[in-house]
Amino acid sequence: MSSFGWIRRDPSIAISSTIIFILIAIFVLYPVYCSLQLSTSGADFWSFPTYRYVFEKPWLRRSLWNSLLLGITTASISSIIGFIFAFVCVRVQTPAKNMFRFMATLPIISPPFMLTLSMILLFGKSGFITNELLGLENFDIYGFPGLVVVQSISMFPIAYLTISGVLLGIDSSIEDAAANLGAGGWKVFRSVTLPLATPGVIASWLLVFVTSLADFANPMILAGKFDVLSVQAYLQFTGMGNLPLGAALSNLLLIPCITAYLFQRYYVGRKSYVSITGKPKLYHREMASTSVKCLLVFFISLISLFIILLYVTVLAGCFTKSWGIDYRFSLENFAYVWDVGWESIRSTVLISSIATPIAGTAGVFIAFLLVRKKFPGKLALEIACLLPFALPGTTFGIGYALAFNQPPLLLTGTASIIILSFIFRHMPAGMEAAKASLQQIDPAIDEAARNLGASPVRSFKDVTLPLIKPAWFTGMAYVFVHCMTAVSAVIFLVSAKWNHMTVLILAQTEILRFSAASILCLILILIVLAAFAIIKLLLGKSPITSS
Amino acid sequence: MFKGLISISILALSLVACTRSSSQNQPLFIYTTMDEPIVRQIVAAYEKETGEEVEFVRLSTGEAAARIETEKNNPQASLWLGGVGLSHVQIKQKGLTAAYQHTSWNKIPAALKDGDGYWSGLYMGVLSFASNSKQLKRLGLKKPTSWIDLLDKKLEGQVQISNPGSSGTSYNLIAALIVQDGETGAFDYFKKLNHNISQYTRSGSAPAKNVAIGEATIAVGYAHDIVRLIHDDKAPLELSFPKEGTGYEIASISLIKDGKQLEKAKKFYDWMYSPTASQVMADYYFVPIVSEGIQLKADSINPKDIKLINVDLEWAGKERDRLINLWNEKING
Repeated sequence: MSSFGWIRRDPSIAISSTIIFILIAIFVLYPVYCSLQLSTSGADFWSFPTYRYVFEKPWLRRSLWNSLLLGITTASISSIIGFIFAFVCVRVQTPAKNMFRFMATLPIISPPFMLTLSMILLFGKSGFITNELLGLENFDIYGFPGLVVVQSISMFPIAYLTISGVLLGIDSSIEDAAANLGAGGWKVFRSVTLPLATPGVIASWLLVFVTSLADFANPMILAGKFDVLSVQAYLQFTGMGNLPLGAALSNLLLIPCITAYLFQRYYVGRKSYVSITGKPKLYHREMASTSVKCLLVFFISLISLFIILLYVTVLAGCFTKSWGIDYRFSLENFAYVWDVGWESIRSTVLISSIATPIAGTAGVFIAFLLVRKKFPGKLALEIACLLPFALPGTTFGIGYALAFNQPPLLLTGTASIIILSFIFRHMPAGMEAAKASLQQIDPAIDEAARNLGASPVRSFKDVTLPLIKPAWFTGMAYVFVHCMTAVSAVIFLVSAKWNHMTVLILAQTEILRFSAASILCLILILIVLAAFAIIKLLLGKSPITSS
Repeated sequence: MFKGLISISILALSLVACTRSSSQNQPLFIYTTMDEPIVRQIVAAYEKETGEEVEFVRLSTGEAAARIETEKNNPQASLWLGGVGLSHVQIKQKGLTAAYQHTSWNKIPAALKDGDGYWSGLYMGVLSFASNSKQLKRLGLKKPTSWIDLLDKKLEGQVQISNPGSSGTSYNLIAALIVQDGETGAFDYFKKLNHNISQYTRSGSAPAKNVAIGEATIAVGYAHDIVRLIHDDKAPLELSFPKEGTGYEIASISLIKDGKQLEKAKKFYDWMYSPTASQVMADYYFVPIVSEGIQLKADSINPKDIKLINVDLEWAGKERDRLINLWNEKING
């Protein structure tokens, strides 16, 4: 067979992968190129004057250092909390398991800075707890410690989902063997369970690290004088009009993000995907002694209580006249939100609803190609498709703003630019979910259909598609959540007609309309929960859980 | 699979195709730097009086200027309403705006408009101190009456100003203090002040609001914002002015060069100097530059009564990038 035999055998693969490559090139690589090019412009390509400037200036160097420090701290704390949550939910019998599971996924579906908002309401200088209840007069939540708390609480669910997938995949027969050989509970955990879970822990650490680096909504409000790179990039770009410096700063985030991502791929490997969806009912050994169990449950109960407190605060904020000045009950903020926010709510939902099925479906198609088909350039395709995962939101947003503000792709100010950015930025989430479940379906079923005379399209439609429907819906659920809660890229792309709720929440928070911001947060969460309910109805199970 | 993929790509490409079209029939689209509530009132009054629709995006001064610059090949908006005069000067210097002499041009004093007609002042905002009276009492301090008062050791972590990178308010402050004390003196001051700052906010009106809810003790902000917080929001604030003199802004309007709806924008521009528009602004505690036959709110601060530091706007506009970079280095260095 000639080396091009694969094209003749299944021409659709060649055509579709070419189309995917072209689309990725236009809507992912080109914007990134624009952003990179801008940051090195003005001199020889290799002299990198803007980057040298960044490293020469102590204040910019410090914001890079601060970003790394924050990322490392948040990733470590989140991984520990996530691990304990996962361990309890998978390995310990407690009556409140479902509640803990819910607590560990709640922050994922909330707007990114909602927790910052309630932290200020509760622990700010005039916070409800610090000032009204405890009478503390100079408690300072702004800065590094406050940021670590907020980021850890909002990002530990990422660790929880990854780690619990891995824990579910560990077959307890190995642990039994160790126990039978005389090892105590702690020894079994340390020498068997923990090493087996390590790849998952590292993966989750890296995911949180990257998320923390790219986060700019929380630092913008809560950082005080603790400067971080993502905020500096935003200020330079939109505030100072210093496009090269803004692009350079956000590109600096690219280096740790891609390194973290590659490291994760290399170290964790593909095998972990199989475990993420959870094979049918492995047996899980109950490992903790009563006292350890109590300690663990106590710990996660405390965290859960804290999360509940933060959410109750937002709920209370909705009905308060003017937080910090006048705590009386009031409904007038709802009228204000209706007035200010209705258009944004509508456009956010509309844009997300258009982007979600496209991104989710494209994700499934690409996953199918990657898992089932052999063709040249497969690895390149996979890396290209996953690139948006590793890109900091600001780079993505700035890249889009630059790339699509001139003919032939004149998109600034339209809904299209936001929809396209959502599709290409969040498609990998759907793709990864679909890939994980495709890997569990035996290709033999598919082959059987082909042997019986079905065309590749038909066997995909009638055999594979029904089997991957759950993954498809889960993928879409993730994409929808990402679209609804996105802020770092979309803030560069919104316009009068097409605003995004998160951008509006950020603006309301900044002008201290806390009540309005709370109401918008609440509406956003309700929309996401409603979407989940619809998916659950179509699918018969909840879209986002690891088990 | 093949068909699906093709249809996805067609969908994606058709999204690309549906860009903004036929702007003349669409509502006038503007950028504004005034507070959201007053812009809503202005737009509502304009729509009621003329039947013309207006859409707006609220951006801080720096953001608006940056956006007008990034969009220069394809301007989205045709007019920029409000925002510190310095930035209007700066975008004029960059050639991003269009000259226009509106119908009330002759009523505006020469110092409050561009000689070539590129921008025109709407109202003046005077920089002042907002202090939280409860916090002041707790710290045992009186309301500040001098720039030096903000350097008091008791105020560590208690003072807020906005970030001059994104907010025109703080750049006005920098420019005014440089005129008064020279560059070295002014930056020495900011370096010392940095010690007492809790946060440099993105928006210029945020510090006074943070002080209103007690998140900080003293803020620098525009007097009309502070008077409004005291009267309308019943915030526990005290207003005071530095005795050495203070900076001010000329909130202005510019037409954006090559805007797609310049005719509509000019009509709106003219209307902004009508008694109706002036009254809406006066009700928001502004003192409009063209204020014949309108009723000012009690306690509105008339800039004529305050000791001001005069800043050469052309100079300040040209120097902005350099001075803000310098500020970043001095403060964070």
